[in-house]
Amino acid sequence: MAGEDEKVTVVCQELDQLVLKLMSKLETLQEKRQTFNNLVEQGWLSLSQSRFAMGNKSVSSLQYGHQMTPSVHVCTCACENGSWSFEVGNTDNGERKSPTKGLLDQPEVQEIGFKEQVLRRRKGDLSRKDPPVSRDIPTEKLKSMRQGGGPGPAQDPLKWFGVLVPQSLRQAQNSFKKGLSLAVDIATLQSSIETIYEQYRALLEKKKQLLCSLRVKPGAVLPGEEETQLPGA
Amino acid sequence: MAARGKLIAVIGDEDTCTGFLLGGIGELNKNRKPNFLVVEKETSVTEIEETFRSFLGRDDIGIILINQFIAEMIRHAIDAHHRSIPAVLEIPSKEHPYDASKDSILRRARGMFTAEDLR
Repeated sequence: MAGEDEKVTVVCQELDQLVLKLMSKLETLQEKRQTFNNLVEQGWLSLSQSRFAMGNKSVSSLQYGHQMTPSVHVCTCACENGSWSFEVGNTDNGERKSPTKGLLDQPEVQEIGFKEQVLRRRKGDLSRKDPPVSRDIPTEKLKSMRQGGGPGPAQDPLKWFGVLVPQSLRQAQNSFKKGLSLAVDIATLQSSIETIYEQYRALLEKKKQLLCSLRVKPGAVLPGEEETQLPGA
Repeated sequence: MAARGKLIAVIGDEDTCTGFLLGGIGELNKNRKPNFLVVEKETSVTEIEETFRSFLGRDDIGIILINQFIAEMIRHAIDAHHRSIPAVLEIPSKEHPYDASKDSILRRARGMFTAEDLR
């Protein structure tokens, strides 16, 4: 009996911990949301300013490039508690700045060196035929690590709107870039909130089952009901 | 367990899409399919919903940003999405400020506490 009481107390404490954790996450989420909204608003204002400077039709969806390569990626990572964390990974000039950057850099440098070596040989002696060097493996590995064969270097989207763009358009770009990193943080927070929600529901169910089993036993006093009983009753 | 980089998709009005594309999220894949949808006055709800569902079905998309007023149009589809990836973020638009009480995630979190549970 005492063991089951203790179990209920432990579950109640865990529930309290989860609620506190949730409140803290919600508070952080609210702060980040506020900052994100401010950044996006600032971005719209800068876009409107650049529209004023360049003309109404100069900043619209008609100017989007025919080729688009993303310079921002999201790296997903499963956490121990079942939630997902998101991280921004930039790809500037075809170079990834994600956690796998180190893995990608090394073979790329080797590949460039290899090409130069081949060119030198061609210039030197054309008749000489060397056996093929088995450097294909790292290149294949590199290809498999890149996404879908590897698109070309990402073009700066500012160039869709002309070569000499107003400062306000650059400001808009900066605002939205900062907003993106915040959006990724918000996504991580949302995922952890959902995980806490699921854990809370599971614990609540467990608590209900424990309380039911206590109620079934005759003369059982439920935790929290001791003080309601009259002395001597 | 780190996975490969995923894309950020956006469904929004012209300014929202232009802004985030300036930020560098835009992609046209091999099939010339974009990871964004510019919603205009003549864009139908069906088209928005189909695009949203196609983004949910793509495994290269990690986060979907959607204007809250557009999310309201396809609320049933957003509420039915329970997976962590892609994460759906409701964002404000120029004419419609962000309302936390409409956000799917926050509504779900608010539903945690019922009078029955707190007894």
